[in-house]
Amino acid sequence: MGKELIFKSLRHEKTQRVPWVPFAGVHAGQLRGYTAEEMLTNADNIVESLEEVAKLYMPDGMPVIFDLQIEAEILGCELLWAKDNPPSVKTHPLDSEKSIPCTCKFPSADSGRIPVVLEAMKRVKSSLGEEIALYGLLCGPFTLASHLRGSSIFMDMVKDPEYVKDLIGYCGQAACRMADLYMKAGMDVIAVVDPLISQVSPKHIEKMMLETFTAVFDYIRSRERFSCFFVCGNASKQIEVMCKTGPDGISVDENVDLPKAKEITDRYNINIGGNIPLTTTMLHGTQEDNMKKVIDLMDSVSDHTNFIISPGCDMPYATPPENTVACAQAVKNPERTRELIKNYQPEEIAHMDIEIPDYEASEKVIIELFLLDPEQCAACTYMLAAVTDAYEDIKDMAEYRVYKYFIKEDIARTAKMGVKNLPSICVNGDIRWISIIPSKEELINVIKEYAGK
Amino acid sequence: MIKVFLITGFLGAGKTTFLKEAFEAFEGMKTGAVVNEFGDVNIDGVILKREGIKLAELTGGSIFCACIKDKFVDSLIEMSKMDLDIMFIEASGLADPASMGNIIEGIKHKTGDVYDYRGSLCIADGDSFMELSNILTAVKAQVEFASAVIINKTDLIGHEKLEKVRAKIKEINPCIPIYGAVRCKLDIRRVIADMEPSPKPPGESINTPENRAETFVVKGQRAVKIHALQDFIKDISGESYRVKGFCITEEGPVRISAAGDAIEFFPWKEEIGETKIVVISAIGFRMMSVILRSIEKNAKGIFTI
Repeated sequence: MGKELIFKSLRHEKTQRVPWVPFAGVHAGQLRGYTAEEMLTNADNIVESLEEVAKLYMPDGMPVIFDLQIEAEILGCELLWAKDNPPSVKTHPLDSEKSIPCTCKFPSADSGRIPVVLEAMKRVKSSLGEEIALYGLLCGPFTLASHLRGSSIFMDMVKDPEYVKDLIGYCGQAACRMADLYMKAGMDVIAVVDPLISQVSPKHIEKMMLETFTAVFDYIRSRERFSCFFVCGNASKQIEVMCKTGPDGISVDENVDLPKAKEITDRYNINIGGNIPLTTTMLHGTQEDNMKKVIDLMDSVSDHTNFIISPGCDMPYATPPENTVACAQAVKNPERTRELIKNYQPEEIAHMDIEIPDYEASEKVIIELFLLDPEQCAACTYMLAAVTDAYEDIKDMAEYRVYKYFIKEDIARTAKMGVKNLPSICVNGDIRWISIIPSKEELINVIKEYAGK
Repeated sequence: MIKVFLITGFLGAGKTTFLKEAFEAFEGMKTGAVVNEFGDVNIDGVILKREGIKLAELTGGSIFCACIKDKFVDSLIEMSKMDLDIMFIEASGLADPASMGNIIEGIKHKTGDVYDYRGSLCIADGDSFMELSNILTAVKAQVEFASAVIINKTDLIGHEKLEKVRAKIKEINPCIPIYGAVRCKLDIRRVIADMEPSPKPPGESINTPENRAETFVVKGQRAVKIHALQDFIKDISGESYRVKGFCITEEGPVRISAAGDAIEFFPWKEEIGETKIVVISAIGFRMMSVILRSIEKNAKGIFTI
């Protein structure tokens, strides 16, 4: 049974085959013709969509809902809804007020969209929960703190680390409340999803976040459930400190070299999951691309204990279902899949004809943001905000351009520029910030340097 | 008119003990009390329940914080209709009482002239006051807005330290009477009779992170061995401001009261139904891990958080 396979893997035991967890968030809605908003606000639609996921993708485990803005909305952030993405955070209640919100605002069973989520969880538990391990995903304390405080939190980390630590502690308490609600609704695995962790140095994580994350995982363990720590972006350097927080599993995206990361997680006897590329392979690739990627991924890891195959993060809304089916096929029947892809020839997006700007000739300094998705990826949102927040001060000497990794031309441009990790910022063609969000002052100083001022 | 007294003091200083003594001292008079804790569980209410006392319990925040201020005001209006001679309001341990005067004034149109606010009485823990008043703004504010201070637990400190505490209190608020006591045993009627509302103009209570320390509640249905309970409390009390509550033990129900290193257990005669121990953290959210480790070590399968 799939569920038992996940449990075994998270108990660090040997499994007969590698378990498979497709992260079908709003993509699940697409299977039944629902927009992201229709899916994320209606329990009937969630249940119907997830039953379709179960049928089509044969998961061993799956999330019930993938939306990191549920808590933020309850705590006073306004959301911007999209048709084909989870909502993004539009306003930050602590933007201009450096304070800790009241504990009376903590999420409860009747706040915000939680009644919808809990109802869906209970129904999915009863219809699919026997066979499939169900994941309850909550917004990680650092990402939630960023939603509340906005991009100023990156400056606070330098100037007032105690405040950041307190705010993250508050968000950790909120995370435990959410975990409690989800566990009571039958979730087998609680995933603390904190994409922004990849933007913080391990030293800063140790100083400001380690205690809170550890407490959250300790709490989940005390309730005898499994826990996972999901991250997005290039978290290669953060894997070790993530292990120190003590989850049962970690999940990474395509920016991380999974076999290398597994060497670290194996030292801590922690499960690792990932990392089928979301856009190049799942969204834009062919079925063969997907099968090949999964087979390569499995072959890259010699020891299949403590290992789960899943997409790098929440699957894009428009992912062709046949591509996910191909992934499922490859995980579950690797030998037959090898036969199917014997004569595999990849289609090279990178060979598209792309014009690189003439930086020398340009009157203004050109800032280029290479992002996964500015609406969906929190790190991308805050990286873009770092530039737009500073733009008023630099607009006379610089201009900025945004490239999105779900557009074919932009994927090709990313390759041509030699940008290996997303999100990144280039200035006049030089890669200046990889996965690290610059503070306003730092950004302005670099632009001035390029402008010769 | 109902004479109203606000009782302030840091966690574990002895506010509940004071109220118990006060109820004794005013035996025969019509007495009411509002007790407030910022955790979700009210332990003091259980301890103070006794015949003839009208009690209102407010949990989940400080009465001066926006989150339950409305409920506080509601209960003041409610109590104003009762036939009372005297009423005590016990603030949560980390409350800044600056706005108390404003609140009484602000509800006059609803209550009429029934309340005679006589000021706030601060209970200072003789043993920890010097240290805490330097760290926590609320502790200082409690003395600043007080009309009288009782230095409690004088048996735990020498004469020299007592004088230092007295001098520190005088430095913060020079014109108020200061009393010394052990377990709040003193002539409470006299203390109260001498009180005058503070001349300091009321302000808005500050709402800083430190007056909302993390609170955890340890629960359990089954009986624990008494020595396991003692070890459990010993492991966690050093890193908390306050630990208090009731516990089912194999020797019967026990009341727990700990503030720092001072840990006390009292046999409790009444039925308690389940174990409920409130822990107020001094180390932020990390306390969760400290408590869970101590449960694992001392009361696995019996206590949960």
